[in-house]
Amino acid sequence: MRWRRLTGNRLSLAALCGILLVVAAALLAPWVAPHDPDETDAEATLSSVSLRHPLGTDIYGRDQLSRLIHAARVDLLVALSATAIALTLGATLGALAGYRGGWVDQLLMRAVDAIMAFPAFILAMGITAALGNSTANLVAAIAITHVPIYTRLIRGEMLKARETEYAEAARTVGNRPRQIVLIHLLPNCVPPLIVQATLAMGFAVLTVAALSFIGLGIQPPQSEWGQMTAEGAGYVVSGEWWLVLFPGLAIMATVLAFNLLGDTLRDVLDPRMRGVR
Amino acid sequence: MSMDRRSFLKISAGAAALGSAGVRPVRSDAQDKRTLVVAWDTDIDTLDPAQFKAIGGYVTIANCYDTPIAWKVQPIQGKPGFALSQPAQWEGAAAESWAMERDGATIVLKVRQGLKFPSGRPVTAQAVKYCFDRGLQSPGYMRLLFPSLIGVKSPEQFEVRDEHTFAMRMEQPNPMAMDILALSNNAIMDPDEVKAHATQGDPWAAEWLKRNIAGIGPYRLVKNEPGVEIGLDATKNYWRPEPYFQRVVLKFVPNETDRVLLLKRKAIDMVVGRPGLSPKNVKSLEGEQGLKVFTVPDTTCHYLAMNQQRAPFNSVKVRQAINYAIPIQALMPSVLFGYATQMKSPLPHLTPGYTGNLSPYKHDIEKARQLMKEADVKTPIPVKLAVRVGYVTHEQAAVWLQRELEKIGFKVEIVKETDATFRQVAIKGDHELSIESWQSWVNDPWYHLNFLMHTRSKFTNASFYSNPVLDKIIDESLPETNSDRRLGNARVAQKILIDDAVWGFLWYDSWTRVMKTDVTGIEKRWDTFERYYGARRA
Amino acid sequence: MGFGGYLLRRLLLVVPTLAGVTVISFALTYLLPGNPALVKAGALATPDVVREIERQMGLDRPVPVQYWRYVSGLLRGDLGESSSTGRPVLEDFRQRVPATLELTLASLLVAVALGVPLGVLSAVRRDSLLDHVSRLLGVGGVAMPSFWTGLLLLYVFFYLLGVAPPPLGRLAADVTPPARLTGLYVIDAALTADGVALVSALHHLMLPALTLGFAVMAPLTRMVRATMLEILESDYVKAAWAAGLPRRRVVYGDALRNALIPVITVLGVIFGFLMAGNVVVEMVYAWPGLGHYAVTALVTKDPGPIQSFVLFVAVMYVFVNLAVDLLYGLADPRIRLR
Repeated sequence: MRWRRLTGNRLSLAALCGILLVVAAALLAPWVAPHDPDETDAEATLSSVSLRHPLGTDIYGRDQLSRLIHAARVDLLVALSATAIALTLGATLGALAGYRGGWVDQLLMRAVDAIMAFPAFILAMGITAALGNSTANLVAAIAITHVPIYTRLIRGEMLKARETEYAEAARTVGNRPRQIVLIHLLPNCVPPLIVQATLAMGFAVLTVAALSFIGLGIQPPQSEWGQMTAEGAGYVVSGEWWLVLFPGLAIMATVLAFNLLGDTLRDVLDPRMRGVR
Repeated sequence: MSMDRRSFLKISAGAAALGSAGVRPVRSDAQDKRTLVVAWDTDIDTLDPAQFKAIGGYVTIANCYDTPIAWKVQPIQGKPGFALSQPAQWEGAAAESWAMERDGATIVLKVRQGLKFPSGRPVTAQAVKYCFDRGLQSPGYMRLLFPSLIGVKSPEQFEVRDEHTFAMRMEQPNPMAMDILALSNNAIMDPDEVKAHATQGDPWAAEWLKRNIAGIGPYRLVKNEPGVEIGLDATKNYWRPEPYFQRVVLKFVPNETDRVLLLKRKAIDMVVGRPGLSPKNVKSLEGEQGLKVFTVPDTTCHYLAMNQQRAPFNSVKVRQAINYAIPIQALMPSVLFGYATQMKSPLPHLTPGYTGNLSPYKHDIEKARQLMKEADVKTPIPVKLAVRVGYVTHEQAAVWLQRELEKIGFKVEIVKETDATFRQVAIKGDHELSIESWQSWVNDPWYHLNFLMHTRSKFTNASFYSNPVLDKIIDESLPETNSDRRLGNARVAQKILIDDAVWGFLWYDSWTRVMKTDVTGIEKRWDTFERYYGARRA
Repeated sequence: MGFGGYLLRRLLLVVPTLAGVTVISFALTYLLPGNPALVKAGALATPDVVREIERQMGLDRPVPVQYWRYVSGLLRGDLGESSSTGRPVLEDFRQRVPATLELTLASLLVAVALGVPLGVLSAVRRDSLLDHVSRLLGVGGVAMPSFWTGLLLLYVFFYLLGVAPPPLGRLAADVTPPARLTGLYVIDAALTADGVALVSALHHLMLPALTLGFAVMAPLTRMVRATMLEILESDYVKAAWAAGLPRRRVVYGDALRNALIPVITVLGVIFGFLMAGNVVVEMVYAWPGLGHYAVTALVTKDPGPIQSFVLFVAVMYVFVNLAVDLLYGLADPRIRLR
């Protein structure tokens, strides 16, 4: 029934298909891209949309379609690893705080408060500026800013779950604390985590793009959608519209897909959470 | 507050309806014609003439302070409305004339009669001495340039002969001395004003001079709102003819696309800065109705620095191989769009002594591979190529270089660094390959080579080139007054440096400005920063 | 616990948060690569000049000492100096905060004006085409990179149509700023009945506020839609309908009013988005505010402004969230017990 609700909605179905398409493009990039994304061609710089170059070429004569496809790898990889790290770290800390309580909880929650005192993008900006522009640092920056979401979420669930008869029962039967957390309580937290992570994916892609725009994200010549859009934006005025349109659309479509899917998942999996964030 | 909500809404609606006609500034009256509106992306970092680094600081100082003498500009053929400085041509400024004594080892300046500071106090020889004393002793450029280039090491070498006569005594005659005197750093300021703001810890009032002008020049700084605009007004009762532009407004526009749009809409008169517009955008504005592009060859060098303290760049064969791998035929049209000249020597092609036929290098991958083989290095060689954020042509050149260098056995990773990081890493000697740029304020071969090639120039010799033979030639040639020997030595030095493949030779930028068709009288001097008093509207 | 107790507890929580914030902002600039003394010294500096500047800036001292100097400086209102403007950071801030504040508030207004009706309509006609379109618009706003929308709007409205003013700041060149009361030109001009300045200020604010407002309205739309749905499905509304009250009055009267209370909670989030969005949008429109200042500082690795910007935004954010919590606590007493 849940599945039907997910697929029955045409918008979410489209979102799901979009994500699958991007993931497929990313996985199969070397096979589906028509050209080497880094192959420069002095003879074909800034050429418009054509059969040979379906999305045109840039100032180095590189094929934009191929770069777009390869960029999907970078974007998804950064977003996915940041989200995965944030989720694992955040959930673990949240569980720890929620289960142990006391000073551990106090300490962790104050740290989380300090991180959350910064708007996520501003902090990510500061961290990448401080650590330097590399893909790993970008992942770290986005992960750090996302950790508190999961920590708070899991801690909340833990606090609630700890009081339930169910946890009480597990304890009296003699299960060790770690087992209680892992086997009985965490599964309850999975639906909201999935929802959060899906939404975070979209946000991560946007953060990468915006950081690249101000010169702090993925560095050329590695292709990344945000950086391609930012670079292409300068060409609007001289008429090379293909350089900004396609990467911009790629970002929009991907972020949109993740957000719509996240919304629907929330409606389906976790109705209590509707509208938050 | 008397306005109720309804009338507020009316005004807002009115604002929307007014649209273009009512609100956009319309330049119609005579007052506006006399205002020059320029867009750039710099603030004034400091107004201390000894210390500025940002273009904002430099241009403001160049327009608001007189120097003792100045580079003289001459109209150029085929480019009406533009003028350039010429080698060895100066004109009087705060000093109305100069004379040489002791075969040129002493330069005597006659301070302009009747010239007054804004305070009303006259500009005297004492004032000139005070400014040179300050330059020599306060932290900044002149403390380095005076002793190392023209042998002026002590304030006693600056001498006041009478109210209007000042002399600078060097150890020996020096052909660079006049150019050094023409630098904007020698701004003439009011000693009483400066002393009034000096403190115990800051005897030269560097703190106060950061934000204040204490001298006289064609313009006065009337507005400095960082991030918004700088306003300059023409000085009244000034010794030069009254400038056409009574006001110059320099608008801070951080986004290049915006600068292009502003030009296209004719909402500004001109874009300046470094570079202000990338070659690609200049090209796209060429032929645009109502705009004109002015471009002349210039002395700014862009080169690939190869750190010779590190393998494999300590091998001359490898460095030569890299020079044969530089895809200059792609860089010139696709990165620089023709607004540059191919570099064929470590000296700028406009510098006296430049020899353009020594370099054997051209794009030849086979030859490059051959040299790599001879160098006997193990490939692939992983290497980092550093460029500065915001240097568009460098970033683009790096991409082209990356491809070609990979063909001869390198595995290149491009690293973008901010200015600060780039400089720190460079000075520590941690760059392997990097794209550097340099512009010599003094158009002299030995000024240039001293900073870029001498072993002792640790902060500016980005390749860490060290050659005792060359060092000796530089040391001997710096004070050399015999022009034949001076230029002959330059040829020898170039031969050594080119054979040593000291840099990856890239290009010299052209000095390029895009402006509205009616703006004329644009002048370019050796230091590349514009003065606006010669500009006019046709 | 009464509201007084809640207020006290909530205020006390702010203290450790702010302390944590200063540690983070200090750590960020301490970690910044690039020696600020070198930047300050310039290309032709000698090593002894660099050392002199390092000493002046206190860079040769141990980290805890530097941190202590930083915090005690903050308490004295000393935020350091900017190397690109050559002025104290505090002075630069005074000049730029009103510009950012004006843009932020105007964008908030745009977001509310667009987001609330969109959310309400979505909920009322759930799963209709309108719902899909409005959800798409809401989510699309957040999905579009604002530097992209900004440039596009500028291209169309300034370059092609000529209805928007050139991106040269907050007022037209020939308009003198209104007398300074708040520093927000629109408000100052309105208060002093300066029609010319008001029109010019609004005109210049138009595109940036639209760009930014559109980018942040998604969470608002989503929240309004969700709470509205919840309320429309509640027994109370069903009862009202069953009792024959006009649908329109139920929906746009009581239901909407109740739906708007939880919206307070999103305002904090939106404020965060706005502060972040400012950075990019100010760059696109040459808006002379803090974001623009911060990016310049980031690119030149100018520690004073970066530190102060990050700190300022965080402190603002902490207090906005505090205000949101208190307002919400006041509106919904249950929250105080948590």
